[in-house]
Amino acid sequence: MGFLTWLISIAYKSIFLTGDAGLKRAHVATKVLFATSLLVVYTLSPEKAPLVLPVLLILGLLHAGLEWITATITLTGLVGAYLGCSSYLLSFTGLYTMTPLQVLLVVFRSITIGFAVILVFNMISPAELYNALHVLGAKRFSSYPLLVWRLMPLGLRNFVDAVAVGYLKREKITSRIPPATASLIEAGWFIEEYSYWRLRVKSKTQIPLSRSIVYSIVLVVASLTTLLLASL
Amino acid sequence: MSARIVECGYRGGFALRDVYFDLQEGDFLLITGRSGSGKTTLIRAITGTLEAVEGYLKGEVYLCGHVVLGSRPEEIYSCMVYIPQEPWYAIIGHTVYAEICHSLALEGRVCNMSDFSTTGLTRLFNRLTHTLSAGETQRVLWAELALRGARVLVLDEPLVYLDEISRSHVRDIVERALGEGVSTILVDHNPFFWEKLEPRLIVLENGRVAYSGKWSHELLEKHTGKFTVTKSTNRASRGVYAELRNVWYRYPGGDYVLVDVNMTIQRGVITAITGPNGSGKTTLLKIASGVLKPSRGSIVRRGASIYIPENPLLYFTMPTPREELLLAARGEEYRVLDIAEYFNIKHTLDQPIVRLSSGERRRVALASAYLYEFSGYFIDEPTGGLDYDSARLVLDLLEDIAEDGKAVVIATHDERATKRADLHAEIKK
Repeated sequence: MGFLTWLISIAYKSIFLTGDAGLKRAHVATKVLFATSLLVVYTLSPEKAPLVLPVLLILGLLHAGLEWITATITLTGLVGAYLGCSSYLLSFTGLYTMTPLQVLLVVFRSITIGFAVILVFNMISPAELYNALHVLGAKRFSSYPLLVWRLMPLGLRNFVDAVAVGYLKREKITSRIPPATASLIEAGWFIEEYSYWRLRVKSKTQIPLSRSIVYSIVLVVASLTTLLLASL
Repeated sequence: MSARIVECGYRGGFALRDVYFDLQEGDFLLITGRSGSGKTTLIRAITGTLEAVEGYLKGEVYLCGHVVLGSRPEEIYSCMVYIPQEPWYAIIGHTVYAEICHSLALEGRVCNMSDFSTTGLTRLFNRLTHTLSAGETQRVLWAELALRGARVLVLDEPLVYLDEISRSHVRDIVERALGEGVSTILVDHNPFFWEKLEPRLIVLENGRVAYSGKWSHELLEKHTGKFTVTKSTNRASRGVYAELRNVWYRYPGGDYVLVDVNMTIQRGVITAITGPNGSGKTTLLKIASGVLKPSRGSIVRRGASIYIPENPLLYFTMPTPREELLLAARGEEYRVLDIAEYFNIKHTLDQPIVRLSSGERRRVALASAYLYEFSGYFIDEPTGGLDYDSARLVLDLLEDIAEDGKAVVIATHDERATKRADLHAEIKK
C-alpha cells in the first residue's frame, strides 16, 4: 500500500492504540514525576539517555502490550536511523568527525528520546484535561480535549482510506491529500452543526476518573529507577 | 414545542416557507419528502443550528417554552436530544465512557457504571469512538437519549445504518419515549416503517408544505413514491472475479473482526454483504477490494478493483465533478458529457463536490469509477440516506455496471438494495 500508509498506520498505533487505559489511569502527580525524571536525565546527563530505554520498554509493555512496543520502536527507530545516517554522512564534509560508535549513540539517543516523548504523550488522559479545564474555570472549553483526541485518529483513518482508494485509482499519493483534508474539514462542519448546543454548554461536573494505584506505583518506581540510572 | 416559520434557508440559496405546527407532550411528527424538498433545512431550523451553516430564520421556534434562537445553550441542550443522519459526527468523546459521562456532565450529572449496564453499553465501555461501526455509534447516541431524559427528540434518518433487529428496537424506544411524554420529530425517507405508530405528517415539496395532517398511507405514496423492486433480468454469473481464502482480520489493538472467511466473488452480478451492526461488512468490503490487507489468508483478484467508501468524499481527487470525470476519462470531454447524462449528474458538473448531496456524490463517484473501467466495484452503503428516487437511480446504475460483466459488491442494511442483489453473503457476528 506504500510507505506513507504504512508509516501512518505505525504512527496511529503508537499514539491511539488504547483508550483511557494503562498508564493513562495513573495519578497525575506520578505522571508529572516521571516526565520530570526523564527531563532531568535528558538535560543533565544526555549521554546516559540510552540507559533509560529498558525502563521505557517495560513501561510500554505494561501500558499497551507488544503491538504498541513494536510500532513505537519502529517509528522511533526510523527517526533514529535517519538522524544517525545523516550525522555520519555530514561528517564527511569535514565539519566534524564521527566514529561508528558515536553514530550508534546518536541512533540510540534518538530512539530513547522519541520513545519517551511518545510514552509521555500516551499517558495524557483527555478526560483528565477535561477535568483540569473544568476546575480552572474554563468550563465552556472543557470538551475540547475530548474533541481533539477524537478528531486526530479520525483524520488519520480518513487519510489512510483516501490513500488506499488513490492506490486503487493508481494515483500519486500527493493527490490524495486534498480529499483527506476535505473530509476532515467536512467532519469539522458536521460536528459544529450536530453538536452546536453541546459545544456551547459549560460543563457542570467532572468526568469520574478510574485511577489505578498499581500504575501509579509503577510510575513512581520507574521515576526513581530513571534517576538512579542517570546517577550511575 | 412550536414552530412558526415564515421563511428559513440560506442566503442566496434554498428557502423553505410557511411551516407552522405545535407539538404537545408525547406527540409524534414525521417529516418526509423527496431529496431537496427542505427536510434538512427544517430540522436545522427546529434544532437552532441554521446559524452554524450560515443560514437564516424568519419566524420563531419554541422548545420547552424557550425561543430556540436567543435562549441560553443550557436551556436548549437540556430540552432536546438530536440524533443526526451521520451519527459519528454527533460524538465528541474519544471513548464511549468519555462520551456518555461528558454528555451527562453538561447536565450536572455524574455518570456511574449502572448508566452503562442499563443501556447495554458495558461491552463498549472503553472502546475508542472512532473504532465504532455506524450502528454501534447510533447505539451510543440512543443510550445518551435514554440517560438524559430530554423532553424533545429530533431524529434525522435514524434507521440508515441499523440492522433489522436494531430498527425494531429503535421503534420500540421511540414508542416508549412517546409513552413517557417525549415529543418526537423524525425525518425518514421510509415513512411507512413508522405506520404502526401513526405519526402526524408534514410532507415537503420544493420548499413548501405539500401536506400537513394525520397519517395517510395513500397520500404518502402519492407524495413520496413507493419503492417497487423491479429486477429487470435474472442475471447469471459470468465467471469468477475474486476468491477470498481463509481470510482473518483484526484492527490494531482489537480482536479479530473477520475469522476464517471464504468467499467467491462473481462477475456480472450484484453481491450484497449483509449482517448485524459491527459484524465486519465494511472490513470485508475493504479487504476484498484491496484497501486493507488481511491479517491471515489470501485473496486472488482477476482485474483491477475500486472501493467507494460510505463517505464518497474520500474517493474523489478533484474539486468538481467535471475535473474528476475528465481525470477518469483521460481528458476526453465527450465521454464525460455522455457519462454525466447517463448518470444524471450533468447539472452538477461545475459545482464543488463538497456542496453536492449524498446521492449526487455517490452518482459522481460511480460515474468516475465507471470511466476508469475497473473489473470489480466494491461500494459501501450505496443507498444510505437516499430517498426512493435517488436510491432507485443508484441501484439502476449498479445493475447496468453488473450487466456490463463487472463484479459489483455492496455492503448494506437497506432492503431496497439487498432485494436488487443476485447473490447474498451474510456475516454472522
